[in-house]
Amino acid sequence: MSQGMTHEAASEALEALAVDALDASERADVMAHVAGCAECQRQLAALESTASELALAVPPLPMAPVQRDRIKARLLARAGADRAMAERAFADVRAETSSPPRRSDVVPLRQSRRGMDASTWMAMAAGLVAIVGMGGFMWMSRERDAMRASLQVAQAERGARVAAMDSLRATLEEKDRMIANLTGAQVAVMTLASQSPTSPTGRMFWDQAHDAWTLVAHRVPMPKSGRTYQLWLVTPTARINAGTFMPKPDGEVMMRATMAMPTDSLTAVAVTDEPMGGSLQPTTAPMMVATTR
Amino acid sequence: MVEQAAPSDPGLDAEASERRRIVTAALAELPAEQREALELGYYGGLSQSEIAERTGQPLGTVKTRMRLAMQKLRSQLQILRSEGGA
Repeated sequence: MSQGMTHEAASEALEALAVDALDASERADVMAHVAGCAECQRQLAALESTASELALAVPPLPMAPVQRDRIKARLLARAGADRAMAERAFADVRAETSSPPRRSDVVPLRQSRRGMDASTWMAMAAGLVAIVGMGGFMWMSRERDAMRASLQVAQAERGARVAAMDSLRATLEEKDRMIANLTGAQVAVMTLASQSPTSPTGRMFWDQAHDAWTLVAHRVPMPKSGRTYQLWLVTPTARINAGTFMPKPDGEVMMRATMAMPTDSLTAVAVTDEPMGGSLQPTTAPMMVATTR
Repeated sequence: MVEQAAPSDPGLDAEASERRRIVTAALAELPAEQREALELGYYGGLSQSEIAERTGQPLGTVKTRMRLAMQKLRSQLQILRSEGGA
């Protein structure tokens, strides 16, 4: 993790971070350092500004097959790592859910009674008979209520584990679909350039065999209140709405859409800032764009 | 035919064109090996280790080239940012 990365090592990697040329693990380490280092944050902001100018300067180049394959390989590795993580969590939750609840999880009061034999119970019963009255009755009621409450907690925890398992299963299925959409034989890759001050970077994967579109972007700023981002597929005659999305707090975006389109009709992919809910047509200049011609 | 998303502004177009010219010139001034490292990383989507593999250069060399390229660009494009912020 990031604890091992020195300031010197992190600062030497900022240029590569600004142009998104670090391997995933190194990127995570550097980002972890930057999160707590004001100096690196200043340097990175300046370098990202430089990178944003770079995006404006040169029109997106036609991507050679070898480059496209490498980008896909990087994304595949990242998606595979995410999937492995989800798979491990899934296995952990499944193990917990299928095993009987631990005593410590269920009724803590039982622990103090573990080891009591029948004679102890008989003696306790005899004692209860002797002290029967309002005080003894209340003590028994409290015990019973506590046990019932503990049981309810245990049942709720078990329900939560099942829900978590369902969620993880859905996550795994989503990762599988994404990997398929990134690595199919007919997947086109487009690099999105931006002039936003945060210099977001993005790539669009178009799985032409399944009409599936996967947008992966980094450093996308959060839109203003009441606004959202909208993805457009641009043809010579129309701008087709492909849906709206919001970045995560860390600026990461993973958006998927399904839309059929003739292979040779796409001229560009664009992202615009729109009112919440999206617009019928773009109402602002694109904040990210990739051209195909 | 659909409407244009953002009407073209001749003034903005001219400014964008000038910025593009300056940045392109700054890129052209970089030593070829530094420009190659930068372009493979930024436009090609390759990581530094992938660039090293592709070009046959040591990873440390690729890192140094990319770093120097970005530092030079940053210095030369300072004027762009100051003008843009004005």
